[in-house]
Amino acid sequence: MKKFFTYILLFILTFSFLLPFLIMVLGSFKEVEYVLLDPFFWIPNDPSIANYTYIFRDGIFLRWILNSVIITIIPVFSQMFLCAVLGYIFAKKKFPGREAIFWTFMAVIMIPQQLLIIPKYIMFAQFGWINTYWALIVPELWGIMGVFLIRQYLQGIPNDFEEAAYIDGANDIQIFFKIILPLSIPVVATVGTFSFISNWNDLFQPLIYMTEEKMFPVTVGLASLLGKEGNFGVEMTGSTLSFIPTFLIFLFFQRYFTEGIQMSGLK
Amino acid sequence: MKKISFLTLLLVIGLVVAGCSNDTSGGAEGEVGGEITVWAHPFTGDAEKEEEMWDKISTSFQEEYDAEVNIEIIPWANRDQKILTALAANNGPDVFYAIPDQMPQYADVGMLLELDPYLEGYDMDDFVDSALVSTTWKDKLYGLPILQSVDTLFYNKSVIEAIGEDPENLPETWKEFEAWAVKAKEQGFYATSFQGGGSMNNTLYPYIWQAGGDIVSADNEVLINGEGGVEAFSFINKMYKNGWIPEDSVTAMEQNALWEDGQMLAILGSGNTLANLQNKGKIDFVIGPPLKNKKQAAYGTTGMFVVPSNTDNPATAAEFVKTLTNAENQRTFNKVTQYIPARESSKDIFDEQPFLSQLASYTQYTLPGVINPKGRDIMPMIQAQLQAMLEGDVTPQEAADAAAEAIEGAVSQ
Amino acid sequence: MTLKNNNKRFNKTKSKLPFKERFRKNAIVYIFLFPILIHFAIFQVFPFLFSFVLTFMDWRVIGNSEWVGLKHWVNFFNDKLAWKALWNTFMFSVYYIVPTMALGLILALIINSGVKFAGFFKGIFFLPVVTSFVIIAGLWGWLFRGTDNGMVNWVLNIFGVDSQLFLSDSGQALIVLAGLSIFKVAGSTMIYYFAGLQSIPNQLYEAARIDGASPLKIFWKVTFPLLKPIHFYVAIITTIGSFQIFDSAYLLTGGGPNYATTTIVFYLYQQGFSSLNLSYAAVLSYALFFVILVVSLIQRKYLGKESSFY
Repeated sequence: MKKFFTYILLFILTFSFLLPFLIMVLGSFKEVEYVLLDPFFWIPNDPSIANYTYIFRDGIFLRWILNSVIITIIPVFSQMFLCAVLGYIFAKKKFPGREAIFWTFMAVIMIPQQLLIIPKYIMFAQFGWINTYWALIVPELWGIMGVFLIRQYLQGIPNDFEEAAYIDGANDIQIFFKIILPLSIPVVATVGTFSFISNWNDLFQPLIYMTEEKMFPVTVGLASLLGKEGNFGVEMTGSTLSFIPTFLIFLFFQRYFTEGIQMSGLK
Repeated sequence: MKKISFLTLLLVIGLVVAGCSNDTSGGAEGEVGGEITVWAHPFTGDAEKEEEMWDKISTSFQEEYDAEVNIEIIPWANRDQKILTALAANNGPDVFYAIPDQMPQYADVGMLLELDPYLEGYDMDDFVDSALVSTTWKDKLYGLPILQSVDTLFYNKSVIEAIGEDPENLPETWKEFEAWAVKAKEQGFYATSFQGGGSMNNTLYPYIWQAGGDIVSADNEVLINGEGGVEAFSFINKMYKNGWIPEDSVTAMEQNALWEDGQMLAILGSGNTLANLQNKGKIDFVIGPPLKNKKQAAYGTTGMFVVPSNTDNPATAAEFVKTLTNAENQRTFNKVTQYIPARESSKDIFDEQPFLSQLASYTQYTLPGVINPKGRDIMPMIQAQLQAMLEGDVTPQEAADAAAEAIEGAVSQ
Repeated sequence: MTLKNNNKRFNKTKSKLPFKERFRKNAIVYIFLFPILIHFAIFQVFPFLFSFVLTFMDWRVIGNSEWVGLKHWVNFFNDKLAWKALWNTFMFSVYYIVPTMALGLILALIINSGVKFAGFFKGIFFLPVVTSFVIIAGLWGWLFRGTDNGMVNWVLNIFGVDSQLFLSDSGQALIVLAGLSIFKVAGSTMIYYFAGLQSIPNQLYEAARIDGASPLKIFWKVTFPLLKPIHFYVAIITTIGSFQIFDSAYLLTGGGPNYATTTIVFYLYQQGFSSLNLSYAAVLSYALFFVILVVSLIQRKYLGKESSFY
């Protein structure tokens, strides 16, 4: 009886979580300009790939994908590494002002990015970074939420290994690479995946920093294809295309998630 | 010690700020040449056709002048923010697209280049008068118009028949429209659309103008709670309370679905509505004239290209705006985008398009919104009062008075 | 673990150990922390201070800006709308934080309860996290259309409930927007809770069961308290997200009806980029910053302290 109830609940939840995704994918095969009243308007009774051929009409879409890959992959790897290092520093190292620095980091990410955009833009313009990858890569090289997660994780790991290694004469860079990093691979993979999702899907920053069509990432490129009124079919197609890589990354790394987020302190 | 270094930091930042914004020069100096960047937007959603169009226009410029033109197509999303941010860093375009309620706001703080010095010997008489009104602020011209649009009512023919009326004989006044609305409601249709979450230009303002009122004048006289204003508030309230406009009209951003599904007698639309209707061919429609109560009036935008005052190449930028808005290029542009050209001589592109020429004939009634530097600031304030009225919290008179008070506060700052 | 203790211990070490030894144990701090601090100063602190300077000026996009002292700060304290926007933001958090955590936990409990194809369902619940916000927002607006033919209204009508106005009703609009965010974020909350649940040892449950505790009691006495570090992390990320809410108001309600969904970031966006009043927008962002700071200090005090026991 309890099982039955669980499955009913599971079914309802599955349906509602699946719905936007179904609308997106099926809608991409339908030529319809805006949302209609009919609850099933997005089901293509006459499926067409017109929206896809429109998006792929010239090579520029591939260039947008390349741009997205560049501005995503570099920060992802850099974040995985630097967040691990910083997580280790803030979890295990003792130095004056450690807590103060960490909580300053935490405080500053709470500022709305909408406001920082003008000072940042002025600065990037001075650096000559507008319409270059630098503007989207350099500020994203590490991220405080990743540091926070890894710090939480490492705080739960006993110091025994580390101390044994010190006694053996290792320095702490060796300890980081030989002991800490291997131990934190699952949580680092989690940080990498979330960083991938957020960088790949970011529309706001590239929209402001990029004006040349050939520098657009996929998100901005797709927005530039839409007229003033938008176009439902093209929007769904674009979203489906940019959705695929993020979802694949999730599927591929999700087995790490569970391990990664588990904190040893829970045992 | 700490205090001093903090003050130094402030000073440095202050200098950076001042240094970044110390660049305002005027006058028609300089040769045409070099390189300029133009920001346009995806007007239609057909990127391919638009690219061809821009190629053609910039080629026509380069045939005459030895200058390079980069056309950059900027998405509409967060467009204000993008332009302001780039201009603040002195890194913006040399020419960009603006609409009439943006222009005075930008011009008033010295962001735009006055174009008059560049216009000697240029054919200005051919421009539609109502378009030039929208590009002028305090007797100075800051932009040249490229397109016009007019909002009017598109009627669904089968709904007209269902309520037993004659599609040849469409309502012209509020009274006539009310009579139709009552019948439509009886038959289970909505009479018209009202996108209360959108711009007041497409909702409240046209009704105010039709009632003979106005919102606020260029010299800050607040008129919204005058007789015409209150009448417009009351009329909208009546439409909502009687169910002539949809229940979600308080905040709706669009109501296309109801129209597409044939549940609405008439939708307020413009050129793109026409283009959509023609492309799909699903709904049989007729276009009606803008309504009148005391005065026939409609909102109509005027799209223009302007030059920011911090451009490095004002001569070339101004020259390009002139070329872009000449008779031939207006034809090229408006054929693709399906707007109404802002020049009389270019209107010949409609010869084979009866609906477009019908729309063009209404441009004489159009008003471009509130032409005041605070025009866009006051919109959310008025919107809030209108919404409060529709929710039943205040009467039309109270809403109009509260809106007037809010406008008073904004313009006196 | 407080700052003071750290300092003491550090000082002791410093006096005892030679530099080489200290470097061996802390090389990573010297090598990485300083570049990161510089990076942080350039990309976070500088823009933040820059906007602080803006609050004392009438800043022009082009042209000369003037110093106006505390004018914008004084305006802020008299601006009823700014306080309303702060209040709306606070109410949004109330509607959003706990339900997001609860839904994430429920999803995790279902997946962890031994249902078949758990991995598959986990993927489905994660879908909204990776789907673009614009799509989900559009869909949400469509489901909660305020007319009789809106999907949710249609369902309500079947059960004999009158049609609701949803986004067009100042009492409901903010809740509907919170619902949208809950739906979008619950999938990632679920991931954190699922990981937490997986690491609770089975013996604990068995012991409780032998004691004759009901499933509900086991949940409240065993599972829930053991998830504390997860509660802490998830509370922090959802709090930050809730205070910065902007997109859904921008896309679905335009801040209405009658300012009911004008959140602080929406209001500062409007002030800054529609009204060209960037200096005042900077004041508003500082106001928001102080609010978040206070809230997170409180959270840290009540949640963070206990989590450090683990």
